[in-house]
Amino acid sequence: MGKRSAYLLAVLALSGSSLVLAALILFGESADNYNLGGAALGAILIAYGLIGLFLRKLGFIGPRNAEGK
Amino acid sequence: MPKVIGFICDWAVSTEGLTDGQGRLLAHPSVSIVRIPCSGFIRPDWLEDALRAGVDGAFVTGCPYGDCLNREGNYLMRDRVEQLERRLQRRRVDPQRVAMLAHGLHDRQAFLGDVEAFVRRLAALPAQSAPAARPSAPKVSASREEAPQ
Amino acid sequence: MYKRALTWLLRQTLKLDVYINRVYPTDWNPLYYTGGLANFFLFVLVISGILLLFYYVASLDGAFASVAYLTERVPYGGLFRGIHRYAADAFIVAVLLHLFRNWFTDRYLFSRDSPWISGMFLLILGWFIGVNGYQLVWDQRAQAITAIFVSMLYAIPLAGPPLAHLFLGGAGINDAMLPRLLFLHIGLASFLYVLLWWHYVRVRHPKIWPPATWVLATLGGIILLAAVIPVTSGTPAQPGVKVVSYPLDVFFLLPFWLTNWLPAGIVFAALAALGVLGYVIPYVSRESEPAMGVRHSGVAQVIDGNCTGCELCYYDCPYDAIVMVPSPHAGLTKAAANRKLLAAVMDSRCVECGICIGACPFEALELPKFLEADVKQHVAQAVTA
Repeated sequence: MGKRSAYLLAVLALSGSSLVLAALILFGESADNYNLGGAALGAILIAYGLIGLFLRKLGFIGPRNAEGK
Repeated sequence: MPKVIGFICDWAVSTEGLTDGQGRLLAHPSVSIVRIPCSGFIRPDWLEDALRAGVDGAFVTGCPYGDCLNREGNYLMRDRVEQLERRLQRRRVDPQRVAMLAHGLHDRQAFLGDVEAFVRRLAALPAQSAPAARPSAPKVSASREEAPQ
Repeated sequence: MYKRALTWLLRQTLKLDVYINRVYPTDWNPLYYTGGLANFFLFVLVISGILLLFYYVASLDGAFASVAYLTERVPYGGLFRGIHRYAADAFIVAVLLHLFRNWFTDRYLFSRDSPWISGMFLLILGWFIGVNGYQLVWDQRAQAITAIFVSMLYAIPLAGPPLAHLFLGGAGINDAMLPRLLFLHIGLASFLYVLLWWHYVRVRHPKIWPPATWVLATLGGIILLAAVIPVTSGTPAQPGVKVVSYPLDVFFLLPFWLTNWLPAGIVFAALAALGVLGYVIPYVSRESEPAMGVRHSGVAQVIDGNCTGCELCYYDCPYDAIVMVPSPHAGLTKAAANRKLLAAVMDSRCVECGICIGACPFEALELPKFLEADVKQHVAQAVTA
C-alpha cells in the first residue's frame, strides 16, 4: 500500500508542478524570454511522461494486464 | 504432486542448472521442461492434448512482453492461451490448468516463483475428472474458435 | 572467441533489461524501442529542420549571418536550432543502441540480414547528414571539418579528386558549395525514408513509435536541453584562416578529431573498414551458426492436404514469410475440401521460429526438425516421469 500512495503522491506533486510550469511558459512568452518558456515546456513534457508512467504503475492506463498478473 | 509440462522459449528464462538430465525441474521434480524455438511455436491444441494425456497442468514461457526475439511470438501466445482458456471452460476443463508466463534470461527466481505458484494452484484444484472426449470433428469446430478477435 | 564474446554480450544486454524492467513495465522498456525512438527523433529533426529552412541562406556570405539572425532575433528560433541539434545527437545515440542491441541479441540471423543491411546504410547516411549539418552553419568549425573532409576525399585513389570537385562545386571552397551541402542535407534526409521503407518492408508490425511516456520524456529532454544549454555558432568562417580548435560533438565529429594525430586518409580508410565490417556482421556469424547455439528447426513446411486457406498463419507470421496463393487443387481433409487459398512459405524470408505452427489449428504446418510428434513424445515422458 505504501508504494501505491507514494505513486499517487508523485502524480499529485507532478501535476502541481506542471501547473507552475504552465504558468512559467506563459510568463516566458509574455516577457519574450524564450529560453525560460522553452525550459518550462521541456520540463512540463518530462513531467507528463512521468505522470504517464506512474498512472501506468497505478494501473489506471496502459494495455490490459501486460504483466500477466 | 501435480504433473506439469512447461514449454520454454530458447531465448527466455535460462534453466541451466535448474533441471536434471531429463528436463525435470530440480525444485519441482514433477515439472518437466521442454525448450522450444519460440513461445509462439506452441499450438494451443497441444496443451489441451497434454491435459488429456494425463498431465495436470501445462504452461508456456516466453520472453518479457515487448522483447520477443521474433517480435511478437509472446503476445500471440498470450492471446492464444486466453482463447484456449475460454475453450477449456466450454469443455468443462478447469482453465486454471494452463498458464502463460513471461520471463527474461536472468529472471530465474521470478520464474521459479511463478512455477511454484502454478503448482500450488494445481494442487488446490479438485482432482482432474477425465476431460470430455474431444468433439468428433475437432479441426472443423476449432476453426470457429481460433478465429482472430 | 567471437561466439564467446557475443554470448557474454547477450547476457549483459539482457541483464540491463532486468534492472530497467524493475522501473518500467516491460512493454515500456526504452531498450525495446530503440528503433522507434530513432524514428521519432528523425521525425523531430524533419519538423524542426523545416522551420530552420525558412531562415537559412545558403551562401558563403549569408549563411553565418542567417543562422545568427535565426538564433538571436527570431522568437524561439534559438530553441528550434537547439532542438534540431540535440535531436540529431539523440538520433545517433538511438541508432547505435539499436545496432548494438540487435547485434548482441542475435536479431540479424536467418533472413533478417535485410533489415541489417538497410540499417547500415541508414547509419552511414545519417552520420553524413549530421556532418553536413555542422558544415551548413559555416563558422570556423564548419570550415575546419570541410577542410578535413575534402582532404579525406583527396586521399581516395583515382576517384578522390573528382569527388572532392563534385562535393565543393569547383576546385576550392566557393559559393557553389553551400547550396550543394544544403541539398545533400535535405535530399539525403528524405532518402532516409526510402531506406526506412526497405528497413521495414519484411516486418509485419514494425514498432516505429515509442510509448507515449517516452515520446513525452525524450521530447521534453531535448527541448529542456535546447533551452538550458543554447546552441551557439563559433566565430564566422574566414577563407584562408587555419582553424586550430573548435568545439567537438562526440556523436558526429569524432573521426575529425582523430585527424589531429592521424593523416586524413588513414582515418577515412579506418571509417570505410568499419563500415564494411558492419555490413559483414550477419554473414560472419552465419558461418559459425551451429557453434552459436542457435537452434535450426528448418524452414516451416505447409502440409498441403490439411491447409484450409484460413490465413491465420499469414496474419501471425512476423516476417511476412507466408503468402496465400490461389489453391491449385482441393485439400484432403473435410475442412480443406472447399478451400480457395493455400498457404505457401517463402524460404528466403523464414526465420524458423515456428510462430505459424502455433497459429495453425489444422495441423497444416510443421517445423521439419521439431515435429508435433516430438512434442507429443515430450508430453508422454512428462506423464510417466
